Amino acid sequence: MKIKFEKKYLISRNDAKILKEEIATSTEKIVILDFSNVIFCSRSFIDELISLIEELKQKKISVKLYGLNDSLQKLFKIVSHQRKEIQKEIIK
Amino acid sequence: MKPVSYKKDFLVRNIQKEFENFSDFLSQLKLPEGFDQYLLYVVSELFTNIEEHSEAGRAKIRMKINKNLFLVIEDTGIGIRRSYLKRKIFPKDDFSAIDFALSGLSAKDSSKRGFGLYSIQNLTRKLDGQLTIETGRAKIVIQKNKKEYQKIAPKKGTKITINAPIKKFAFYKYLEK
Repeated sequence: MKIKFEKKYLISRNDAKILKEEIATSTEKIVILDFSNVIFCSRSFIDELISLIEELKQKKISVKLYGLNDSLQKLFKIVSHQRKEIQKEIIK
Repeated sequence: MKPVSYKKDFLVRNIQKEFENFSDFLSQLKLPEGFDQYLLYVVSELFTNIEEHSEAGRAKIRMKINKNLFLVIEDTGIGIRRSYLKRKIFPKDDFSAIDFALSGLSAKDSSKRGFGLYSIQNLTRKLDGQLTIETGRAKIVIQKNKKEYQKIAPKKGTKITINAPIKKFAFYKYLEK
């Protein structure tokens, strides 16, 4: 299943939640998210998307991110790292 | 840099469209490397806060750019303290509510971090800028390591003001910290 984002800017958590509904209707085990149109994502959108990816992983659905520009790649890494740090704080 | 200004009063339900308009405007300016990312990040965080927490019908953005950035984003919503109270988090007054937000306490889920104002504060400090937050009866001005607390006449909603020099900025390096 391939989903291409048509928006240039993804700032709302709702954008990720809509995606969740779309994926829920599919039975495929690999989802490719195409970001080649996207210029910018907010930290909130990325946070929500990472939550969704983790949730899908539990259901044995793999998500691949395609077409991320350099800025988005950096932002994804930072948000992902910050989430892990928070998890460590909660576990402590 | 040639002085430019941007001003919009908009419905919160159109905030995504307004962010697109703002970003398109920004892309025409030749801002120093990293500063453009800082500005886009700040506006996206503040817009997200308005959308997720303010319950406001309308919001405003004003920006002036010359050698410095002057940015104001405000809404007419419930304010920071009421936003926490609604989620069973109890700041004793508006000053505490701002301090909660600046410390990274999420108004959405107390087991999560709220990165919005927390990260904006850190990034603006690194830029040698000034961040002002006004909500309810409280105003807090942050510059370098100083925080000034001022009582104000009751204000509906939340107003965030940023004054910062426009310069090259290692945005991702500082965001990571």
